Amino acid sequence: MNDTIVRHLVALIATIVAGLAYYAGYISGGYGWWWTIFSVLIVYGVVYSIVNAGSPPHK
Amino acid sequence: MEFFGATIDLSFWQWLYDQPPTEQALVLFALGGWVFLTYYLLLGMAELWAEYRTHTKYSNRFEWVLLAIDVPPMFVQTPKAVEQIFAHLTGSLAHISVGDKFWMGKIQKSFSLEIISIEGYIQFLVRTEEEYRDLVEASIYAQYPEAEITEVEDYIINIPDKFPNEEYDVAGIEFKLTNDNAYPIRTYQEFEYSLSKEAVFSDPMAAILENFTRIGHGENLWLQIIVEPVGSEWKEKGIALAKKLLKGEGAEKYEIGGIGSYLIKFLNFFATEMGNAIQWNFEPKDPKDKKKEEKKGEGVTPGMKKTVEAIEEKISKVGFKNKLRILYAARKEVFKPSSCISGVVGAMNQFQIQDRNGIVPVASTSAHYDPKHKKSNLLKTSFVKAFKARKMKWKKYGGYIMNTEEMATLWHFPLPFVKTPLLHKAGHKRAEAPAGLPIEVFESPLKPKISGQTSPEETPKATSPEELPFG
Repeated sequence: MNDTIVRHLVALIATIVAGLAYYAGYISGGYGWWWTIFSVLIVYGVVYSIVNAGSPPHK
Repeated sequence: MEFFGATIDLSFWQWLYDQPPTEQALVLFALGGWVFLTYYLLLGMAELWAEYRTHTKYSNRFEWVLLAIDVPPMFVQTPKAVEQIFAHLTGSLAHISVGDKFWMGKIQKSFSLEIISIEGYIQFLVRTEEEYRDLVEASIYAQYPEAEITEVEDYIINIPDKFPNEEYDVAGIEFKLTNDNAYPIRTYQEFEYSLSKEAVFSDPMAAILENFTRIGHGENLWLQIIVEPVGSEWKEKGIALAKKLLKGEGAEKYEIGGIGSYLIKFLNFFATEMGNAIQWNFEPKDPKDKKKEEKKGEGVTPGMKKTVEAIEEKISKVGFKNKLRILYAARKEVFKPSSCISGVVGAMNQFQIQDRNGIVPVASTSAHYDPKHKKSNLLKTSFVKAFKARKMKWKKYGGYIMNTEEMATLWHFPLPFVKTPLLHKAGHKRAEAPAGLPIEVFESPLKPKISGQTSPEETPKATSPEELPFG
């Protein structure tokens, strides 16, 4: 894959995620801060599960 | 609202209920729904990043070696020997850490087990990365001491990369397992039958190789099985499946992993509770129901027990991630894929066991509603690209797990009684033939790869060192 395309895609995804987080904070601010905190904690778990190299060879 | 002394404020939900549906959706998305979108975006980003690092830091340094393997014609070894070869290859299983994967771009190196027919000339090949060349050669020589292993040039470079092409046309098929990875296919041990006191082996390779012998002038039929060793994760899933079957629960055919499965479980729970609420049923589950569930396992049929035993036997052996695909490439004037491809597809049916597993085609280079062949030409181009690169994944079709026994069933050197006259085999003795014999020689279309070869004119003449004590 072309380097330029990958860089554009990564920048786009990071921008969307930042926009989503801002939108969530903006909306949930009116209803309670825990909505954002709870969602961000889920994102933490999601990222933790994604950044995984697979199971070790022999258990 | 008062609930056991605690006050619950439901004003937000009442307000949400009063809003129009679009507003409800927007608010729910902003409060937590965005996490699902984030999950898929980050997942895509992580995969892109890992692939990018692999291409720029790791796989661009790979040096692939293609080894042609010839075994002596009368050397009797069962597929068990090939099973041992595959067990030997698990030595290449790499431990990849998070840093290795996402920073160094490290991936598990794969092997390609190939059977090719170039205009009827049949050859068994193994493609490996230079690092594991010794491992491959040692594993083969350990089982076939008289085998001949020669490094050859890649035969596939003669086929064009882009289609349509004026000279060549191609047809390819990608295969998959019919059931979960844990279920075994019919292996070579089940191809034994007894007509007399001695067990007779009906070699499944005979049916496959028969199609390779039917290839004529200007035609090529190539089969490749991409394999890479895997860890023990698939075995744990197999144990869980066996336990489930013993309980009489049956397997969930379409399992969704990760966050999707939690979502489905939650929705299922939510729907059940909603149903209970509508029926005004808040009674706890009848304890008899629990006993009924416990008794479920007693109804397991003898056939199911055998299937569970087969699963346990499969997971007791080492596993490899596999991908089987065939490519028929021929000059346009002789292009007739149906003559051999349907035969190979049919030959794969011999590995099928009802209620267990089988090997079936999952995708091909042909397309529906394609009168101008635009879609099929795109498919052909991408299939040939995947075939040339020996990629595990083509389009959305990834690999599946097979153990060494299943792999040895699919790819082993045929036993002496399998009549494949044009299968290249190692000679018995390296002796000079008597003069004047009318010998017909089939020359190999595969060119041996000679590294650092120089022409006789360029060869420097050796001069003896000056200080030698001899004149």
